[in-house]
Amino acid sequence: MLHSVGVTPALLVATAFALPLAYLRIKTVKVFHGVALATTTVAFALSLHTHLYVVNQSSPVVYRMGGWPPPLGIVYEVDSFSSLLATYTALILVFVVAYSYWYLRDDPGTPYYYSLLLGLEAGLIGIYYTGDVFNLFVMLEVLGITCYGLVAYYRSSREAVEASFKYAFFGAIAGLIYFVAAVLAYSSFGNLAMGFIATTSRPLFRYFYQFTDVFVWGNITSAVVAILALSLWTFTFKAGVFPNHFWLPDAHPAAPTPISAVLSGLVVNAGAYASMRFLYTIFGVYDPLSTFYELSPYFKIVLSAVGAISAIFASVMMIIQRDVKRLIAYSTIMHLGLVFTGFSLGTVLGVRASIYHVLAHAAGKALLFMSVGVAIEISRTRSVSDLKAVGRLNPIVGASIVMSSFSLVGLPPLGGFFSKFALYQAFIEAGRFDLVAVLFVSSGLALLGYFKVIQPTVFSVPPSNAEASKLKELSLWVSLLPLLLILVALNPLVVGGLLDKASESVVYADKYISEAIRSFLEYVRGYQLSAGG
Amino acid sequence: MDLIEVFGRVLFTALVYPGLLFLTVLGLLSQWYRRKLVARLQNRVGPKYVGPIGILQPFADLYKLLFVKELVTGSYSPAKLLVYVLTLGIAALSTSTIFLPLSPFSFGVSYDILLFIYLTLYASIAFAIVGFGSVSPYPSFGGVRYTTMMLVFEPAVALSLLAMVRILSPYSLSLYEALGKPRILELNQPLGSLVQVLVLAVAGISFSIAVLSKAMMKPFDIPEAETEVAGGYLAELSGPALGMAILLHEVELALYVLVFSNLLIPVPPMLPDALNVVASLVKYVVVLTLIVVVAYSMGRIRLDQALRTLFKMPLPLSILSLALSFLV
Amino acid sequence: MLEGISYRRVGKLDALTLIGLLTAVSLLVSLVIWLPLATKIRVRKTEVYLSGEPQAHFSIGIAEISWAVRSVLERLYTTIINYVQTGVFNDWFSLSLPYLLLLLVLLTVAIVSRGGV
Repeated sequence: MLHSVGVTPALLVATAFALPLAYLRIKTVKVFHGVALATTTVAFALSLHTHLYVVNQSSPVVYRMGGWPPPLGIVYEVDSFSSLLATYTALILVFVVAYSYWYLRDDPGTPYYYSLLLGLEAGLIGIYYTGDVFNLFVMLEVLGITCYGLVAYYRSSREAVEASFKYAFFGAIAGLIYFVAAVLAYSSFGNLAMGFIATTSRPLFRYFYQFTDVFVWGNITSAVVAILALSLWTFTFKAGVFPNHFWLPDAHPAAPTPISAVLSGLVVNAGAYASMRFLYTIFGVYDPLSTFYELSPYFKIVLSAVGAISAIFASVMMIIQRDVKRLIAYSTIMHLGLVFTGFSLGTVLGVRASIYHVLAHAAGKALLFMSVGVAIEISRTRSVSDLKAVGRLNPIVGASIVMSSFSLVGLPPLGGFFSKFALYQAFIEAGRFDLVAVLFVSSGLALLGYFKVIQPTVFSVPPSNAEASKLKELSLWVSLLPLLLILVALNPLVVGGLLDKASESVVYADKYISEAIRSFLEYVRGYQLSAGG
Repeated sequence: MDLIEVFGRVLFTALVYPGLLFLTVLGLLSQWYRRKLVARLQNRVGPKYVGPIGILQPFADLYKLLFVKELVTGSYSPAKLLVYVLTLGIAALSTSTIFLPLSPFSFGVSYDILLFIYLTLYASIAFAIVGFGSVSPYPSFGGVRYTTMMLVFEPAVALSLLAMVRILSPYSLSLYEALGKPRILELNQPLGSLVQVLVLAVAGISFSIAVLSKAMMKPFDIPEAETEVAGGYLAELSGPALGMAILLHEVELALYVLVFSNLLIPVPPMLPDALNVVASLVKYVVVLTLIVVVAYSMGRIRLDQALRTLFKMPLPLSILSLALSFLV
Repeated sequence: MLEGISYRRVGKLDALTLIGLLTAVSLLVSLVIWLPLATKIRVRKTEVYLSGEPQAHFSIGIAEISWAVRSVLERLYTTIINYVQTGVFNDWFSLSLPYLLLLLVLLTVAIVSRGGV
């Protein structure tokens, strides 16, 4: 058993609980910055270790919580897709914490901020690692609650509290709906382990592992229809695509800038990840070997319609915004819409393109939010017409704003171009010219939005020297420069192999299933041996 | 072919033929042709003095702007950065000519039409940055106008090109193959040929309107309105910056019309031997003449009128042509 | 020349590695053009051209960047702002819940059309 899988979320949660307690004794805020940075770095190291192990082993790692195997207990099942996303998330969070040092220097609420942020990271990594349907619900709620708290960080701002309340209310309903889906899953499949449910969905595997069929009651096709509809609704909410996107343009601007970066860049990926997991690995909707293959045309239409409408809607709305963070929030909706169109196709190329776009978007969006946040902090306003050109005084900030916008537009040689190219290739190979048109049109419309961000922050009147004293700090360089390097490094030479492995492990679920069953059989064998059989 | 050989090929193509040198000469000669043609249409003489029949006039203008004049600009604009952005646009356009089979060193790959589209995007971005980057109201207006039109002409141009390449090179979607070895459907397959002609016609119409706005020619020369916004994005550029901007403009127009004319009339394919190169240039001149005559017979329209026109005509037509091209 | 090229890859390169090379060459070419120019350019900065107005008064209202799009798509935006993105929580649900019902109905149709529950 690979203990780095189980330790990572536990460590993060433990630190998250310890920080407010420590604040009772330790009153210097800088200590908490250091502790948070250390914790996130350790979490990154652990997730990298897990990732390297999974990639070397080329099959998923099953981590039995408390020693109980699936389907008797909760398991974490980490395959290449999970570990890739978790490592990437942990990496970006390290730089977000470095940026938070610059942003929230001596703010007295910092320990609570870091407590919630570490809880957020725990929730995210839990979602990526988990192999259990109910544990996914728990982690979704953990993620949700920490997000609601962080959006409302500026308690005295009416806007922030209202946005957080709307997000929380919507999120609570979404969580409830997913809970109903989990209940349905348990009542019809008899267990909650993703690997075992995946087995039951594929008759071929059921032939070999007939004992997994024992607990199935009722007609699983109708149950699965309900499960998929309900859970997809929740994941659409979490990813913030039309028509469940309403909370996003209010919540993301109201949060402090590092949190906006995390929300837009990392939290929304959880929705896309969970959708792909449910559609491809667990229920195998696009897999001809699976029982639910006949549902695939409906999902193709619905998901690509949802994604296409989000992309066009968000790019149209981006143009008229006067609040720069709201503009960037709409851009998040657009990109997640594109991700949804990617994996709605049903092909490995489509899933690969979606994953690539998730990675490129996370880095670009986090960097864009953080560098624009510098401009917002210096100019003390979020209005587009009043921002001062900090890009002129600090070339790293200027380069960050310009290059992250260009990556999100899709200019070569940045990461965004390769992910859009992968999407084009997937669409053309599947013959979906309508999605090609949607991609071109939404990218064209979004250009105006990005120029609306670049022009005041880079090509305008620079701030005076008195205001700009905060620009010359090292922490700014340390947090922005590595993300810039990640953007440049996201080309197929570096990540191509990782993406191939990730997309294959999502679409071809055989290893996922066989590892879960092997874990169960190992336990049974061990029990037999120890009982003297 | 290994990496070094490919690098050498690309470098030579980008610098000499059909890249920087060739495109500069072609663009400036086209500028002469355009100025002479428009002058004759307007009962004037046009360039006359520099070189025989004034053919070296654009070269003289460029030389004067680049090397003789000084760059006078407003106090906030980063002049040298803007000049660099313009040269980056020209360089990207020159490098994208690797996909034109005019030279024996050219080559193509699958899906290289997408590479072509995204490389030439640098030129449009350069114009927009120059417009916004000169920190002054008039260039800002020019930048606003150009970027607003860019919302619509970028997808229209890209989709039309994609449709034409898809119908001419359906298995590899390669511009190199569409220009050099296009799949002309045989006449004993009448439905296929009909669809091909239809796609080329529809894409041709939408592309020609969209390219008028991309190249800022009338009726869409809104960003550089000379009296209305004091020159628009060109207002704060002078000397070398203005020379570079004009060169980028001419090179962009030349490249797009070259690609377009050879996709629209695929029949003598664009191959590296002398006869076919001459044929490609003849097609280029024909289409350029048509575009210039149509453009200069119209006046300038307002930005919102332009946007409405672009939304109504090129964009839906380009989507229609893409849909049709996927039928066959 | 054209027969010999395989259109999936050129040698060891496919489209994506090629674009890296092409961008690198573009950068190189741009430096080739710019460096001789950069040494020769003499920049003279003057006041911003404002048709005679004093420089202290100038500002670039960037919120106006979208005026044309706003006027052309005016009806679309008023519809969106009044019916879709209202900011009132209950209105959101009148769009979200039908999406859930749509999913359930659609998938029920899928089962029923297959011929059995």
